Amino acid sequence: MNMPDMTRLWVPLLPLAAAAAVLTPAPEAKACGCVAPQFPAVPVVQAGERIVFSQDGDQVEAHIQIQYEGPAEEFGWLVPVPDVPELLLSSDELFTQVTQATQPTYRLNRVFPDQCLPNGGRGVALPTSAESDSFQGDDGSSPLVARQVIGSFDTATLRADDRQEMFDWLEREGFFVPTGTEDVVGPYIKTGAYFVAVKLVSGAETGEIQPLALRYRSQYPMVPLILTSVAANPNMGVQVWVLGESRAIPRNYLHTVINEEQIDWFNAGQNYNEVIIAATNEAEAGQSFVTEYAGSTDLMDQRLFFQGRFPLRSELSSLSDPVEFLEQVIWRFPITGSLQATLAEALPIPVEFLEQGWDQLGFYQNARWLTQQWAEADPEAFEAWADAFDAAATTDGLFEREVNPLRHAQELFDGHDYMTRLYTTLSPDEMTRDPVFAFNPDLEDVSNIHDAFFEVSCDGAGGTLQLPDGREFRVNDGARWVETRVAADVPFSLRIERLFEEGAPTIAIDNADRISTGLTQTDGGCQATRPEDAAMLSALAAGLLFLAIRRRRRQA
Amino acid sequence: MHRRVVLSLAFFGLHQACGGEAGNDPGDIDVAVAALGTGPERTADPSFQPRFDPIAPGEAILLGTGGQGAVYHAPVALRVTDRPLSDFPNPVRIRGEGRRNSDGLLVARVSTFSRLMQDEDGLISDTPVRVLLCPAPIGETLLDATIDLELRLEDDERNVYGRGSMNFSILCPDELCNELCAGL
Repeated sequence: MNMPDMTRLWVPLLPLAAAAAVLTPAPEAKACGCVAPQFPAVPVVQAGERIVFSQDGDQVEAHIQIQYEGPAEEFGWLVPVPDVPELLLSSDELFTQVTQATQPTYRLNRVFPDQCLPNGGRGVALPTSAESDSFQGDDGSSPLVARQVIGSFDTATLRADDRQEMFDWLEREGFFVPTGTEDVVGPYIKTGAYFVAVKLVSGAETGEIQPLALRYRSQYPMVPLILTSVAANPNMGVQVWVLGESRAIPRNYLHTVINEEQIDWFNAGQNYNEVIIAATNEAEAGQSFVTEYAGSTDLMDQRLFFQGRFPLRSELSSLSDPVEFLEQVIWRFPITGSLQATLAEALPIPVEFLEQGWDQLGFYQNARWLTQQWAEADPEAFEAWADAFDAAATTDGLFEREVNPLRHAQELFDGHDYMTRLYTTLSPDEMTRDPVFAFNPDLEDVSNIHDAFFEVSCDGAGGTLQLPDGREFRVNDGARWVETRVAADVPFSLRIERLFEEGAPTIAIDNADRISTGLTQTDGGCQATRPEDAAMLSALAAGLLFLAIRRRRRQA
Repeated sequence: MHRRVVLSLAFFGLHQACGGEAGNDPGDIDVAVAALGTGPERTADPSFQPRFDPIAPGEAILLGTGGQGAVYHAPVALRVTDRPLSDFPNPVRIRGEGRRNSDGLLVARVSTFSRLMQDEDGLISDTPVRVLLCPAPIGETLLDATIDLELRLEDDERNVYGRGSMNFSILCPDELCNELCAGL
């Protein structure tokens, strides 16, 4: 078959744009030294694939953010599932909010010693190491099991027991499949398994693509990465949130703890993604996940849905004035492609305004003023503008596509106590096994907040950097920090582990004896020691101490 | 290592010995002994009949491939004799753990629902419980290993109504399964 390459399997075409920047709150001030304003401390992470899983017994719900760039008629998506799934619309805002709430944050707290300040001052204390270490069909020959239009999507659930039968059906029905799919679809073709195929309904635009949720029976959440390899970019990010009873683990992937020495602390951890790429590539076959957050779901409280966030359905549907309707929607709903599509159908931007260069959103946002001007200039044309407007039907559409998905997503978080955020980057040649996620109630929480401290030298020549794990480095030029780490040639992973469904991790690779251990001297950039150097220096220091004590005793 | 008798032998203490997740104290509930075996997986065919096939200790179970993508599971059927259907919540929640006999490594957790139904010899599960085994835990092999499995029949409050255990080895239906069960 000659299929266009623009379609995507499970995978988004382009990596996500930068994660939303969040300014982190200032740390608690303590009566020692002072703290300077921090850098915005949220690293840019590009994730090509984002999935929020929830696991309840043998029920898995997967919210999948679909990213696509290309013509609408060439959008296609194929997802293997173990059971006939229930399909639900999800929301981009779910991903925006959960990303922000759990974003790894690298904060450098600048500490000025009291004696450097004319008036003393407030600040944060350098912590001890202990303190800093916190944290349904057709006739019998058709594979079609169910077909459903949901939002802007035309979906089909197909039996996955015959490869050719399935591909023939997809081609016949106009579902596009990327070139190469037939080569990698083998593991998913089996009796009792299914595929969900998705395309856009006729006339829908790519801007209307919104996340989809699938609910199905399965003992474990799983990402069909082997299929993804057909359309993946090098070092594609795979970001997964798993809601369950305890901390989620990659069952068949390794687990990496990064060496935070490699983080660009002086530039808000902006090299974070590069560190993750390098660290996970140190694992066998590059198949390893990093836990970015593991802990309570409380941080998602009322982030997606709360009483009063949206206008009451009854009130909105009773608004006969289209401008008033628009104002209620534009200012109280998240602006999404699907929202604009629903409004465009009900209240299309008049041609006159398009000709003047107004875009749809600009027109809606300025509707009151613009329509007043228009009504004065051309009353007859204006009166016809909203003839087709049906507040009740439009409200129904908005609730189906915007409000209900957010309400449901909020219920997911409210219904689970624990959430784990895992991240990795993989290139197509590394996508040789599908990661399966399980749970281990014995593992500790993982904070997404990482605090380092930089005690500025009184003479203004650099200072001392203390990492969250307590290691200290003399740094003369923070701008050269990453450069010096590259020169030091230290590993990006602190350790690579195997996580099981109970008990502590077992170590696959321990880099403790290869990472820098701490401060020795100062030079143009910074200086840190290797363990062997540190041992020698410790011995030297101990010797000097011994001599000093002897001398004092003699003097005494 | 201790080899346990497979069928119909369920021991309260076994659960503790395995370090499994305990259900609540059964209290006044007379905990039933459930036999574990295997059986055909449910199909869409309306003539489908569930069946309980006993297996001998250590016997190999052919793994099922009905899961999503590259995952394989043991289809485990239950049988309870000499007890009426009314003694159990229905559907009943099935929880349990599978461990590698050689070292006690937890290789599977089970949490699902099953519906019990009456047949000539007692009560049987209307569809086998899918115990996902492969891919094996990272770096570990389940090939040539004996798996000790214990399943408990519980209600939503985790009261235990029945308990069953078995041990078995696995048989892969294809080469991909062999690779995944080898922890590769």
